[in-house]
Amino acid sequence: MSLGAAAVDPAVPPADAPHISWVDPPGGFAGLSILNGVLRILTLGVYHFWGKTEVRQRIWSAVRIDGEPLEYRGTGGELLRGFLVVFFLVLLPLGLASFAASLLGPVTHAIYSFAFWALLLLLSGIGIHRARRYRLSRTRWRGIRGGLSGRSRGFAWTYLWTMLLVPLTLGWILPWRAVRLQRALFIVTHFGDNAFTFTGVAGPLYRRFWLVWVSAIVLIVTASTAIGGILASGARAPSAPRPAPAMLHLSAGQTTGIVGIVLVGFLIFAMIRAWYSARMLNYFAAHTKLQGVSFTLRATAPSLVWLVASNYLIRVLSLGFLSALAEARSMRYIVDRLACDGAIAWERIAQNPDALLKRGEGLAEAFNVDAF
Amino acid sequence: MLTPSDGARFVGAHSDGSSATTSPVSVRLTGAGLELRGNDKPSTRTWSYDRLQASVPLRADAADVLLYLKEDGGQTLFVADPSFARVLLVRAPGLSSARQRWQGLKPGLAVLGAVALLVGGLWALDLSPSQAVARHMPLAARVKIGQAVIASMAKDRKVCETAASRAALDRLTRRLTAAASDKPLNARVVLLDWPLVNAFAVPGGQIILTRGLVQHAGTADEVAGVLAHELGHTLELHPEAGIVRAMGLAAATQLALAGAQGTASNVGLLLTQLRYTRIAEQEADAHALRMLKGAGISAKGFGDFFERLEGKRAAGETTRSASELEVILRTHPPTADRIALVRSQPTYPATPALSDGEWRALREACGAPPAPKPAVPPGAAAPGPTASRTPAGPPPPSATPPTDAGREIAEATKALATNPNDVAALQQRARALAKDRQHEQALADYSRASELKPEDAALHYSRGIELENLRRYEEALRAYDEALRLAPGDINARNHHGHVNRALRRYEAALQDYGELIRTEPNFIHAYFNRGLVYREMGRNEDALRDFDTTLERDKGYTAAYAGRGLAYERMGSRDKAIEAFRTALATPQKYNNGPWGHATAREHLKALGVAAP
Repeated sequence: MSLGAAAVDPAVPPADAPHISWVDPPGGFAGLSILNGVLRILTLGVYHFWGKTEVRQRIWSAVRIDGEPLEYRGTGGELLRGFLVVFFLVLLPLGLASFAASLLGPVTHAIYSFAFWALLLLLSGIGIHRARRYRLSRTRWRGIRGGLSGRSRGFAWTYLWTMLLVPLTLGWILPWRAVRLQRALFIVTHFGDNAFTFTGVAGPLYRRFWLVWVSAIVLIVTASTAIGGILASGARAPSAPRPAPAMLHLSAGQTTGIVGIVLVGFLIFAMIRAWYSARMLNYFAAHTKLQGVSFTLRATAPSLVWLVASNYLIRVLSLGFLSALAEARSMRYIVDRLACDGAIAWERIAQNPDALLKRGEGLAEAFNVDAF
Repeated sequence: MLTPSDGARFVGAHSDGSSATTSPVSVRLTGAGLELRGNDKPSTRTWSYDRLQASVPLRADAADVLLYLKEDGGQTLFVADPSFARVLLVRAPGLSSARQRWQGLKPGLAVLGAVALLVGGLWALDLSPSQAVARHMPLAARVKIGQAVIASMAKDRKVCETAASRAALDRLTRRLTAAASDKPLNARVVLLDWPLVNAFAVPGGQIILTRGLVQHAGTADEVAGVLAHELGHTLELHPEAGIVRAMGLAAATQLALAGAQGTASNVGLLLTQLRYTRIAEQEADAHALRMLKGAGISAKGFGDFFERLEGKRAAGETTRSASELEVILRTHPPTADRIALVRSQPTYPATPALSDGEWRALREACGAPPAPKPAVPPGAAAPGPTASRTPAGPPPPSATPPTDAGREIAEATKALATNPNDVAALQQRARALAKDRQHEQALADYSRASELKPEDAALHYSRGIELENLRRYEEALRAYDEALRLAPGDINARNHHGHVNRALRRYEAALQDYGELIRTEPNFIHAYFNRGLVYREMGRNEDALRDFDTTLERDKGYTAAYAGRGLAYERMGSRDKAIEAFRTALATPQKYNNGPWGHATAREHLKALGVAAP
């Protein structure tokens, strides 16, 4: 008889595993979110960086490991300086160059556009890496810092060339790319002086990805056929005798039909896509380890669709004033579903010796690639 | 002084920052600071309140508090006690949300103050940084920017230009620029086929006039006034400064919003632009008056145009749609002050801005402009316009007994008594009135209906028919234009547009109308016949003949086309062929509503030719 086999229930983490939980701050996030929006307008936008910092402080503080909160130690001044550097060294020169290029001939403009987008992608990669490094270095638990070693350039290069391969491979590179980027980020992520490891490979993701790919093709073909059918039925109507209408005149029924098809198709795709994304997130968590201990994430497709859709509505309907609430909900989604699979020897984790970045994540903010 | 929190004890978890572990401590608030005492160690340490930092801005209702020291970020103290925050805030009020936020607000408020000072200073000193930048832009760059602007505006519109209109515009421009300044001013003016009533100065000394403006103006002097005004903008480099300012403000907005755009900024942007525009308009007006005087062109036209825009001077042109007027008023507000300024100019010897011929060339540059007054409409002997494909308009001779129409009119009037805004009833009554040849009244009903339902192309078309019946051709053209704008492919409106142009003897325009119908609606054979009539009236008999032949190829029973052929042969001197054609016309049964005209014409001309009708 094997005692061990019967005792291990994978759904229940060992009792000595750290407990990860979410504790809502007093007052929640809605009021803070609105207050920040108002103060931002009042200060011609300058308060944005301080507001963002407070939101992060409260989100980080809501995340508890064994009841003790994470800490965010970044400052508004750091974020502002990061933004100013990017604005004057990157955004402004790019803007002026775009304006100058628009006055030149079409060939010059085409060359410029290509260079512009390539540069933008490269800078996005650098931005993602630097923003992550900044945030990890400003994140503490029990006074111990996180960190990201490694160079931004290497990551940015991988980010760029794998991105360029996406259209060439008709999207088939996406799971492989996601794993590659995840590994590039996680094998250099530290908590204190302990590094995380990442052992994921792309193969298992393809088991779900092929369905995403096939369903995308099937949905596009089906929807196009259905929409074509609606348009053709309109063209045969006796009320439209003109042989070559300059513009499509759609009846209310036709419009409703087309919008309905697009919406339903979009929703079906979102569900399948979420089914894949949930698998990817859970797989990533399972193959990320600290001191050899892995994590369990229980993301599901319906909950992921609901999170994305409701956050989108919150942002749009509040004209962006409640975006902090949406950010907190995203973080909470992960925290509520995340568990640690074993005990971690905290006493073996000493302070992170890395030097700190002096400025905040200007690039990531400029190219809108930051998540929090 | 003792506070109630003095001596209070709490349990906390302390980390020394060397490893990710904590040890329990007992925490006491004393006058000197937080006193931390380890459970296993007898030693105590004190964290003075002014060195404390909280991980989040502290609220009194916080369930727990995480503290660290400003100078030693590795050490942390976590106290999970809901009463700790309240007592700590009494000792260290600097940790409160309000105080922390105030610290964060300071840089923003400083920027706000600096921007306010800067804007106020520029305002008070009447400085324009954008103007200064604009003055340093090389001419070649300014011209390129201007060309890009013109290209974007002209994308969906054609540039109206004939040799004569070009010459007229160039001469007027030279006349004005010669009087502009000591420096030579090179201006280039382009006329765009655009119904909007407006004019734009764009960078590099380039100016756009619209067809709407030229046709809306009563005289060439009015156009000269507007052109001089735009040249005034050019002299002041307003367009260049505007672009520099827009770019600068866009950059500043980006900076202010840090990528997070919002509507508030756009409103602010618009307000600055509007204020600037008013001053710029006054400067441009001053230049315009000087130029007009120097060029010996009366400033009266300039004032007339302002008043026309305000609606005080509807002139022969009747009213424009509100949307067009709004556009003008928004960017070029002809305030009472501006009109008064123009009107107060002393008179000086002046000559017309353009000769009659030049003025006509300019107005006709876009193809089909309204003439000053309708030419005498063609006599009754001329062949009537052909049938529309569907009987939408009232047939010329009333086939219905008046009693029938009378009953319909009475019914509709009754319906209108309960609801005067009943579009369907108005339409029904108008139709009956038209049948009864009460075209004035029918027009009134259609006009009212189209006011209530301005997007209904059919109502504009019906208005056009009534105006055509009343021989108010200019207005009819505009009604058809409106119908065509709303329903671009409308065959009947296009066909009648051609009829009216023909009636006004604007043959080129009529040819364009029918040509377009032939191109887009190849099965609408009436277009060939109608075009044939236009060619015949122009004396282009071969062309006329070819069109009548085409009509008959498509439909051997087209009575009127045989008569048309006879008329063409008659003009060409082929008496025998003419007689044969007229005889065939009479031998063919009447088809379409121009069939009777075909028979009547054939009979009449055979008689004139001394041949007995069969």
